[in-house]
Amino acid sequence: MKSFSKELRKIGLRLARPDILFWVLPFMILVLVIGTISQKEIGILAAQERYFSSFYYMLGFIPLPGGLTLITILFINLLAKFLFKSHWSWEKAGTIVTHFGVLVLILGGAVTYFTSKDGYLMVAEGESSNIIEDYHQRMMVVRDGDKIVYQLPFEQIHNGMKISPTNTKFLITINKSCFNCGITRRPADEQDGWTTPGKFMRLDPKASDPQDEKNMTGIEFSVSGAGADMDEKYLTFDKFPKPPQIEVIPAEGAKPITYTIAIERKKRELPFTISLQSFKQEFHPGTDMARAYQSTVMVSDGDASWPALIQMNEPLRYRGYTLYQSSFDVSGAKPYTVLTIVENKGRVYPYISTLIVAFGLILHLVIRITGKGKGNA
Amino acid sequence: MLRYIIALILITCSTASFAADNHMPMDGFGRLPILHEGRVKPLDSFARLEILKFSKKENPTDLPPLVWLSDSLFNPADAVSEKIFAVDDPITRHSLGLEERKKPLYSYVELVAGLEKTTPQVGQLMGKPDKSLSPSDKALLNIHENALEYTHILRSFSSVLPLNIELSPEWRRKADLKKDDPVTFSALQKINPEIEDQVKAIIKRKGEDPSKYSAKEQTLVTLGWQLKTIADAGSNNKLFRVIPTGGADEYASPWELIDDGKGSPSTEKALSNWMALSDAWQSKSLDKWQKTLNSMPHDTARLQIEVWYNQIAPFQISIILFAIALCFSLANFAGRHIYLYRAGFAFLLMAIFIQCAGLATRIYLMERPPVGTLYESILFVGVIAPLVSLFVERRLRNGSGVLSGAISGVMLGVLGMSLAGEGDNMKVLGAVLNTRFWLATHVLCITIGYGWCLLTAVLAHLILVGKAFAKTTTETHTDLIKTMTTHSLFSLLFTTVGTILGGIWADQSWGRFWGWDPKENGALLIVLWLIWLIHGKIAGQISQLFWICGMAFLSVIVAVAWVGVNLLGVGLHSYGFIEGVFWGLGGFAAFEVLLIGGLATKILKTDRLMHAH
Repeated sequence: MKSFSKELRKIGLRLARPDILFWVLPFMILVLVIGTISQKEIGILAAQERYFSSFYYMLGFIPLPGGLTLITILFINLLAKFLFKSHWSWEKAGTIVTHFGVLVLILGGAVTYFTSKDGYLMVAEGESSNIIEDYHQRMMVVRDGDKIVYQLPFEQIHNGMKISPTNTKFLITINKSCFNCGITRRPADEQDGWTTPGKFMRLDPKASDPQDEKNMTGIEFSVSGAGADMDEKYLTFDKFPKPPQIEVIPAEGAKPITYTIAIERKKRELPFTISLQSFKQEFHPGTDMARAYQSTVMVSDGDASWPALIQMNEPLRYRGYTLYQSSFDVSGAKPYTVLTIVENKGRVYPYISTLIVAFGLILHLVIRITGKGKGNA
Repeated sequence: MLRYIIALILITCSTASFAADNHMPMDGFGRLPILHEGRVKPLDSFARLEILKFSKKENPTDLPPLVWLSDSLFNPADAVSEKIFAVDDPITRHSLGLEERKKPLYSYVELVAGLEKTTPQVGQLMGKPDKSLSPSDKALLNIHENALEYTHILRSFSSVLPLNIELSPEWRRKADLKKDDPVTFSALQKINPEIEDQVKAIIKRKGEDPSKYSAKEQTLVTLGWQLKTIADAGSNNKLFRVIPTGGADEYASPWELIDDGKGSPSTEKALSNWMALSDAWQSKSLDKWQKTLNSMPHDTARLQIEVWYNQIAPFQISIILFAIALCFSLANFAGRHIYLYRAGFAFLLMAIFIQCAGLATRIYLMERPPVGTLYESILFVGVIAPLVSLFVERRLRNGSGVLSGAISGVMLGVLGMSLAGEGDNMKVLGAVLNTRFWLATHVLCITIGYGWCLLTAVLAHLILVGKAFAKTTTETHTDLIKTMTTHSLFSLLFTTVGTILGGIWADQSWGRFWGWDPKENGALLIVLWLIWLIHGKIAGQISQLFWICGMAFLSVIVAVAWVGVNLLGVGLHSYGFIEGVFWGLGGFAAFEVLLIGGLATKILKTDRLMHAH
């Protein structure tokens, strides 16, 4: 047992070596600079995935450690230093507290990374909703009325793929898929076998927009086995107001079933409902520059209902969810509010770590300035 | 179309011509309120901003901005000849058919023909994305935009100013105008529908050829055309919002009163005051001018203070004081005289005081914490770095603090002047920034961090210069390094806490603590740089010279994080790409690399020689 703890301490001391930090930090600075500059070309989301949330990235033909690797090394190094190499003295109190604060901050980052979910809820004035739509994840969905009978994440779809939705008689063959599609006019010689609007519209792949929400995901597909009238070519895409409908007679003499095939954002439900009572925009006088957005909502949970105000910098927090005023649409007859909804179990960590780091740094400075820690940095 | 505008200007308010030296006292006039770009400001500010926008200079003519504005409002026929439009781009000058001048300033009258000629080209350019426009295209669009804005000023009161129109006694009677009453568009509104009906009837009866009309009909059709032209030109003229319409911040332009039906007895009274001012200006009646101004409710403390702020220009004064402090401080290092030291110190204190007073005035005027824009952050850092230098001076008492404070004050002052832009630098803020709590915590904390970092970097430069040229004793050198080390920790404290507070604000506003936005990454870059150097020093991984050079290079890291990341044009803090700033930043970084590298090389050579001996 004694030798185990001795070995552990030996490993800990090695992991706590200051030169690990000294060599990790320039790589962190490098990935930060490259990842930031690359955002101009590939957007924040792609840069985040490629550089900051990856274990490695390629700089030309040279593999370099990505953000995840570097933060993991930094955390282990700091933890080992904190546990095995801290000088538990008054002179070092500020340093120890600061290091502890940074550990809390990184730990919070990890909790957020693994548990955080976000999406948005869009609701019109006078209406209610509890459906959260994902910002990024698209799904191909087959519905029977409101009931989803089949769904598949878009990233699993590929050209030539054959899909037979559960309990349906027909087969879907994917002819074309694009994460960000452009719409062009279909040439006359390609229109055979298509139903409108696909007869006149064609989906063509475009470069992805750096802002993921702006990408229009779509598919072109053929249906077979649904009957002579229905076995044709179709297209559908994200936010398409009239997705194709396939009418199938399940058995002779039975009532026909209408299936809708759509590309949708992944949806999940809130455990409570939000009703938008009013949406208000305030402008700086004489300008079209908004100075405030406000959604007055009614929150309904079970039998209980109560009013709440959501506005910029003042979100609503309830049952582990935080609802932020993120966007709106006032172009139609009724105003819509768009609320970002985040479920993050790690959100409290930055608040705690700020206090700890600030306290630690101030303590360190006080000790240094009052001369009680001579020789310290 | 533009020729019509000139014709319109001649129709409106051409009943008299006035000398350019018709200057009334401008004090009360400058304090009149106007709602412009989202906030109520004094006319003095408006006049300065407009002339600066058009000419890129605060005073391009001999006329003070307020006199130029008064002339433009009350005597547009003469004002259009003032050379106030800067056309710096030679291709644009050529496109507009303008003659070459030593100072490329042109009057509105000189521009008109060229503006008319290039209108189709501008129509095409407006349909193109901003990225595909050349600097000359942008310059052409800009001059058209400025000229249009100026026509709005010229025509601000075209609805109520006397028109150069002959009106028959019959129409005068119908319009309730007495014999000596001036004919104005507003007064003719009452008979305008009847005039329109009669003109339509004439056209229906006799067609569109005026030669077929009787003399009376020709006069009527001309009157109808003139009224329609004035109405078309005046509609959508919302620039000169000086008529209070009710609430504290609710003002309308004279044309808005007509277009939007906002007229009321109180707006009528306000308009009649403006007409009285116009009359006083035209008749050079000092007494009437002053009396009318006194009767206009305008003299709030806030407007008066903004006028003083404009007149005093505290940040320009503080730059001069910082520069004087720098001269005395440098002289002190050359001559080592107590009076030079004291003079430098005194000027530094005065500069800091003036800078603080300027910032306090802005806080009062804008009713929010002092930093909400890039320009404001420079003003704030411009006071933080010199303030921190006082702590350095208190500790060292050898002039190093005064010198570093003066250097940072001058550099940040010049940076502020270059980024002040040509618009209002007391801007209203968008919804997400409209929060006093976060502006007072995160923004102040991170900008204090920037200021502290810059002062630390200046100290590092002083250490390098002192060592390279053997100008400091060993004791001073050691003291400077210790002081710099302490200040590097303060820099780390404020930048770290500021960065995390920024994350918490993002959590409150956008639902995520950290989104790898360029500005967030910039702040993190400073923190990582400081952590790297501080830990490298503690662990003995870097030499003392490397440590000092790294701290000196902190100036570049801060410049990139503070200004540079905004140039990427992405993220939530993007201000767009500004070519001048890009090259300025690149030049600064290159200069710093050469300077720090050169000083380090010299120190290493000197050390080697000493060891050899």
